[in-house]
Parts: sequence; structure tokens; C-alpha cells
Amino acid sequence: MATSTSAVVITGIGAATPLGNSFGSIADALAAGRSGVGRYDAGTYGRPQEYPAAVVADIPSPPASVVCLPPGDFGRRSRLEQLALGPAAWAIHDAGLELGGQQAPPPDRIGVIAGIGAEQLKDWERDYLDGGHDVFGPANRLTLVQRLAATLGIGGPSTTVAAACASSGFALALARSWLTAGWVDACLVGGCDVLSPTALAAFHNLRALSRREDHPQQASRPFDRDRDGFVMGEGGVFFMLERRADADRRGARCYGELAGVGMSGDASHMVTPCSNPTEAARAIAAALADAGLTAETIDYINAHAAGTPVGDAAEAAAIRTALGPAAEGIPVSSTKSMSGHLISAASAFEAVACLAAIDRGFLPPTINLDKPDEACQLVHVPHTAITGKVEIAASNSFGFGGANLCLVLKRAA
Amino acid sequence: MPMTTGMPHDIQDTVTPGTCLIRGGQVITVRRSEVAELARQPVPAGGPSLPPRFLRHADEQTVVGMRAVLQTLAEAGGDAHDLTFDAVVAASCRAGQPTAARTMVALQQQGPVGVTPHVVPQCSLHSPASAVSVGLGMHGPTIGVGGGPAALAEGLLSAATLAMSLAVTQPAAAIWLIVTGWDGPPALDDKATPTNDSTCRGLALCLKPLAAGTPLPEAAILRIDSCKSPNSLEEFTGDRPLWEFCERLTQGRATHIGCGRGLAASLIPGEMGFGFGTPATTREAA
Repeated sequence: MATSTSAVVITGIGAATPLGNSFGSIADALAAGRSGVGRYDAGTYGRPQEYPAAVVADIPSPPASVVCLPPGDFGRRSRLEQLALGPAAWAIHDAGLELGGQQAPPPDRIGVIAGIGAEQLKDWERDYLDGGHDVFGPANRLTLVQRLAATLGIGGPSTTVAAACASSGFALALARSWLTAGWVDACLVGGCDVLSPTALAAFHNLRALSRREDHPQQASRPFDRDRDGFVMGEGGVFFMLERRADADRRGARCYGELAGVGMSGDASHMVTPCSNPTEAARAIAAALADAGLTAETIDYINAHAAGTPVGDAAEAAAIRTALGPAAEGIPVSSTKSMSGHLISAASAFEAVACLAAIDRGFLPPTINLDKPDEACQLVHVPHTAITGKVEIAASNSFGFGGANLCLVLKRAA
Repeated sequence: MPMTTGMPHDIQDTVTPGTCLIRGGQVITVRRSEVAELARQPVPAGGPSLPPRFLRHADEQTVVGMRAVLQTLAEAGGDAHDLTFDAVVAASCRAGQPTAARTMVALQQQGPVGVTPHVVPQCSLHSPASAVSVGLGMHGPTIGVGGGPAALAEGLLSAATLAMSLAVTQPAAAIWLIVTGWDGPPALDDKATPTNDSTCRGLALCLKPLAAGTPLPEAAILRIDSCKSPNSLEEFTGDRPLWEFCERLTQGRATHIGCGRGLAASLIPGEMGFGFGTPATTREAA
């Protein structure tokens, strides 16, 4: 099936994640079923506080070919900003776009969209822990996405998108629309999130986090009968999106096509996951319809499944509802079992997992899936990756407040 | 928030992608000290109801934004459409700051146990949009955007973006654009106790996506225009307060807001302005 010239394709990927900082290293980790989860001390004010969590070991500095920062500049930026700027710059580099060069669109025709859920809270927290008082006062800083655009010399439209754990997926959805409408000729899009003492404490107090502090690598166990919550992670993942015709014109590599997007809202509860699968199923069905595909054509589903008792079961029901009998033949896995839950960056990371499955021809596993929950009846991929051709993959993301999103990615033929 | 008066660039008489009819809207302003009382007040007569105590954990901007939506619906009365598949875009600036301040103090004084579990779900960028969706039973896409000084422009652009898909998938549905912020930012002491009584402002616009290629209606619209002349772009840059934008809408004045250097969101009034109850200049006069 040939890709339409107006299709939106992914031509560059940059990442800083607990499973690696490049498409290749992430694909290797997923194929190996490697866990990025460890023990993390989020203690403050001299009080240790350990959680199972997935940490980025090293955040890559931007390549000098994209942005030339003064010595020490990158390291002085907040961790959240590093998790945006590093991957964003590497996505530009990976796409082979020399900003300002003849092959690249003019800076005003390049957009930036970042999925970031609680940027201000994390900025205020960092400042406060460093002894600052921004949270008490009127300082009105530019947002991270505005600073990102300025640093990279991008002058087109930009926005921050927040839909909790589906933030970067909604960012991808908006970017695709900007390209389809002709509002931009290229769009840098992704998401980032950082481990923060406040967020960890809030989710812990909400009883949403796994309490397996003693066995962190076994803590993230989506679809398993003994799951007890999610494992928070951090990371940044950015893509360069272009229309297929533009990518072809400059001979760019296409990782895949963002072929369909489906969105819906549960309108159920501000905090608790919705146990009714109707709206999540509607998002999945809408994504397939948007891509012009039927359920039978899907080769792999990357589930949102974070390891919460209610959420995983509801998603399994949503997949079965949306796909009908075809669900009995479609493998489903949750890569959060390995990466942890990257929150705002989760959707973007899981899009990378889908592209890796397409590129390498394997189904990423759900590790720690020792006893599949009967309430989560799906075609699971437990423990180890399976070799298999993947042409089309779907990726679910569901956020607080009932923001449902499904992306369909397919090989750019 | 850059603004100028006059007609937009690239005048066209057919609907371009992302164009929306502005069905109506409301502006709500309330002092910080009065927000808690507003959250407890009965909903405006003639509009939909909210679940009991629904806003008890909500931040100030969520309360004010929700009230603007409820007031818009109450004004529409029997003309209100079915909300089932409506989408929500909420553009806020510094939402949740007082709660964040209290949380920082609690973390320092009590440790992690003192952190409220509501700080992320109820006081983040997505929260005003989620609250409207959950409270009023809207099942369309729900996102928060902005967070900083360009929140208004980001909200208009994002609403127009969602309009493109909604016009195809749910042509009867509307998009609720909610823009919230502080007229003067809240000031807090080092115990997170407020030391001023800032005004919190919320704007709700009910936007009906229009199908691309159809004739442009003689009514108030939002649309996205490209800015072809680089020399004219300066007029779209700047940073203006939300109250000034609300005033322009109330007066029915055409307004353009730069969205980066390449695009502008144009709000063009109809014969009755923007539906805020104030007769306004016609499209020709604007």
C-alpha cells in the first residue's frame, strides 16, 4: 500500500529515555525486554523517600550542528528543559534538516508542539527546592516551548499541550493537522516529563503508584493479576513531522506514517480511570476510521496499560469493543512494563516503540506479566519479544480527566 | 497577545480549514477571595447542572472558566445545542499557582505525606478543560494549552486545529475555548497566604466548526490566516493582558493575534458583534 504524498510522515527522532537515547538503542532495549526501572530517592529536606522509578541516566546535549550553546549552558538549564531541548535538537539532526539551509523550510514555516502536563508546577518546585520564591510571586516566564523555539531558531506557530498522560499524543495529533492544513511545512513535536518529589508524592498519596519499592524491576506489571499501580518515569521524545511529498523531495528517511488519530473524552471523573470502555473504544475506532483501515489490518497494539487495576481492565475491554472479533488475533503489549510511565512523554515514547516494531519486525513484550488477569483478556506478548512483521500499529494513551487518544502508525511504503 | 484592528490578510469568501462560527461567549471576573464562594454557588438558571460539590478541589481558574461556560449556556437557554460530543480547549496562564505554593510549603514542613493528591489532577494545565468535560458530560477531545504569556494565541490556534477534525467527525458538535488568567498575578507570603486580592478572569467562547470550502457566513468567526508580508508582522507581536482582549470582544472589534511569525488567528465580528450582547460594528465597518 503506497503512502499518499499528502500523508504526514516521521523523518526524525530524538530521545532521552530510561531505555536509551536513540531510536536504535530504544529498539534494542525493547527487543531484549530490558527494564529501565530502578530505585529512586526523591527525598527532600533531608528526608529520604524511595520509589520504584525509571530515570534517564544521561541526557544528550544538543548536537552543535543544530544549536551552538555557550559552554555550560545546557547543564544550567532545568532537567525538564534538558529533556526537551536535547531530544528536540537530535530530532532535527536525525531528520537531516539544516535549519536556515536550502533544503529546510523557512523558520516561520516550522512549528513546535510539546506535550507537557505540569510544567509550571515543576518549574516552581525546582525553584523552591533551590531556595527560590517564584511560586509566591508574579514572575511570568516564557513557557518551555517558547524557549525551545527561540533556542532552536524556529519562528512558526508553537504551543504547549496538556492532556495528562496523553499529552504528547495530543501534540502529535495537532501537529498532523497543522501539516495537513498547510499551516506549517515541518513540525517539531513531542513531549517531556521529569521525576519530581511533588508529583511522586501526589501520585503515591493518590495510591496510584506501585508500592513494590523492594523489587523495582518487578513493579511495573501491566495486565498482571498482581499489579498494584504504575511506576513513574521521566524522559523526552521528539519527532520531526513532514508531509510525505516534502520528505521525498529532499530524500529524507521516513520512519513511518502517522496515518490516523482518534480522540474522545470519558467525561467520567477528574482522577479515577473510567471503568466504562465506551469512549476509549470510540477513540480507537475513530483512529482506524481516520486512517481508512479496518481492525483486521492492525498487526500490533501498544497499550496505554500503566499497571493500575481499573485502567488496564478498562483498556482491555475497550480494545475488544473497538476491534470486535479481530481483537482475538492482534497482539497487545504494554512497554510501560519496561520504560515505566513517562507521563507527558509516554505517548511519544510509545509511538517510538511502534515504529521500532515496524522497522525491526518484532512485537515488544509486556515484561512481568506472570499471571495475566482474566479481566484483561487480550492476545498478550508476555516476557519476551516475538519476531513478526508489523506493517500497521496502534498506540493508546489515556490521561487524567478522561482524555483518550489513539494513534495509528504504519510503514511508509 | 498582539492585537490590531482591521481586516485580516488573505481575505477569502469561503471557509478555510479550522474556521469556526463564534456562537456566543461570556466573560467572568471575580476576586480571588470570592472564588471559593463562586464554586459553591448554584449554577446559573436555564443552564445545565453540575454534580454536587464538583468544584471543591478545583483551582481558581477552573472555577472561573467553568462559570463562564455555564453562563454562556444559560444565556443560550433553549437554544443550547446537545453537548455530548463537544470538545474543550482551555488556555490558562499560571493556573494552580496558589495550590502549588501551599503544596511546596506542605512538602517542606510535613514531607511527602503533606502533598495533596489533587495538585496534579486538579491544578495542572489540563485541569480547567477536564473539569468542563467531566462536569458537563462532554465526550469530545479535551486539552489544556499554553500555561504562559502566549496562552490566548495558543488557545485560539489549538481550537481551530481541533475544529478541522471535528468538522468531519462530529459536525454537530462545538468546541469550548476557555481562556483564563489573573489580571494582576496573585502575591503570596512565604506561608503561601495571599497578600493581595487579584482578579481572576475567565472567557468562554462557543465555537462551531465550519466545513472547509463552504461559503463564509455573515456572522462572527474565528479563522487562521497566513501572514504573507514579513514587514507587517510586527503588528501581531507583543504581550497584552486578557482583560484587554475581552474588552475588544465585548465591543465587537475585529482582532488579530499572532501565532508565531507565520500565522494569525483572526476574530471577525458579525452584525451583532461576537455575541456578547453588545451591538458592534458590522463586518464591512470593521
